[in-house]
Amino acid sequence: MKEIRITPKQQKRELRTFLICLLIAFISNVYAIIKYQSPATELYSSLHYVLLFSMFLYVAWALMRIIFRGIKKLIKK
Amino acid sequence: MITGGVLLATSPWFSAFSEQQHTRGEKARIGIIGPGSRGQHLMGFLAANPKVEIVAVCDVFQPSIDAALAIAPAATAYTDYRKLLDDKAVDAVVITTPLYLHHRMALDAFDAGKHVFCEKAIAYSLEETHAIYQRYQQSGKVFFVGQQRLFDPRYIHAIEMVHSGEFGVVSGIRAFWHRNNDWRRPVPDTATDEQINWRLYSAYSKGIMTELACHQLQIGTWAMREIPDKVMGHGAITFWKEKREVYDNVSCIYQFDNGVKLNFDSVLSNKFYGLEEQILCNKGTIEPEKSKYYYEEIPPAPAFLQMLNDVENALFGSMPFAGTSWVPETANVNEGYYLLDRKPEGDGTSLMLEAFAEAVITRKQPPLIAEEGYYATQLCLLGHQAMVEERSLVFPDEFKLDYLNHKAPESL
Repeated sequence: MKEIRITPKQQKRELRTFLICLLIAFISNVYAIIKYQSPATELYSSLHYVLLFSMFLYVAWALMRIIFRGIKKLIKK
Repeated sequence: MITGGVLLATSPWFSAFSEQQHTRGEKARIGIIGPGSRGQHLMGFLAANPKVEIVAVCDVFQPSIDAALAIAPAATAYTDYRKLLDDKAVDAVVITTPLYLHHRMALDAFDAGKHVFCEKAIAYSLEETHAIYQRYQQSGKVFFVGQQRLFDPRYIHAIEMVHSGEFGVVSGIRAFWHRNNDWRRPVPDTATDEQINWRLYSAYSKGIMTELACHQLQIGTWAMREIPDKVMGHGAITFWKEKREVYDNVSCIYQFDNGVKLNFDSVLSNKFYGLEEQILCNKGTIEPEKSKYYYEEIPPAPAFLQMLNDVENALFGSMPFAGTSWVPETANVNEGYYLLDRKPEGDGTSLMLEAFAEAVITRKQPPLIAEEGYYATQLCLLGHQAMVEERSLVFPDEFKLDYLNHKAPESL
């Protein structure tokens, strides 16, 4: 069985990717609060939605990366 | 939580409990006239009250006496209510006989110097009800009517919120009470159908109006702090046609001076909606039976969800295969709020009987309770009359009391 190793460099990259997703989700919430003239308290009361959305973005981005890698491998063959 | 101040503001009859501490150790000695199913239900609460001693019971139906003695074994049993009224050990009577008997029994009870608790409706006719109220006033005795919603914490809180202006102006009241049964009870060999199923015979009862509407009409006047002056309605026997003389399908509209309507309807062949009183205000709605209230304006969904919803609609809104949205559409459903922060304990019957016992001991009539009961009965009787005569009726001046928007004829 092949041993999968995640290097510290990869870990850092994944963490950075997730933080970017979180930032995008947070900024989206700020934008939404301004656009829909909602109370500023939604900055923290909607944090669970923000967190869920950032996870969704991260998973979506991971899927895209897997697909890109697959295509790349196919082309190289 | 409902505080004492709030209770007295919306429900001044709670002053009956103001001397609760001083009456410790004293007892109200009560006689039950007509301990049938309702009477036994009330006896259950009375027997559990340490300030009550059930000293006598009276019924012409032996199984009822047997059941009553099982609850209060020390009580003296009578078959003639006048004998019970002669009993010096009795301070007060609870009348739970069929409606048509209330009038004579209540008058005789006041004449015998007894305090009276009479089940609703007070009497069979407008005249009889007025006569009982007058006799009560002349007697100086305590008079309670079985309008237990006056003591129900859900209703007290609801009315307190309405009176505080929390929901703005009352624009209408819809009351309904639907059941799906014929009200018929099995008749034992020792009794007649009229004795057991008296509610179905027009000589003894006015059916839905005196049995059900009476409770709900009182909520209307309580919320509005006004007596409606006009009523129109229609009643019919539409489903339970066998051996029934009273309507099984009624609809009445009561109108207040300012044009606001109190609608009551009842169908006895469908129970889907059950019972409720919906107090409709311009800023909210209250449903006391469900113990809930709702504001007209509900807060919008969080901005983040609104944005996702808009994005989703923009992307997939026109696609024919788009199914159920994954954005929670229920976010905008008005779920409302609960009136109480706890499960209500009972429907007020227990508190009402405790208040009656306190009033009997202190010999002090709590304010307004007799008047609320009086008008609840008069309004249901007037509604019934409007249905029978198939015309709009105005509240007769001769039956008005000095209460809320009404003035008694003698004080004009």
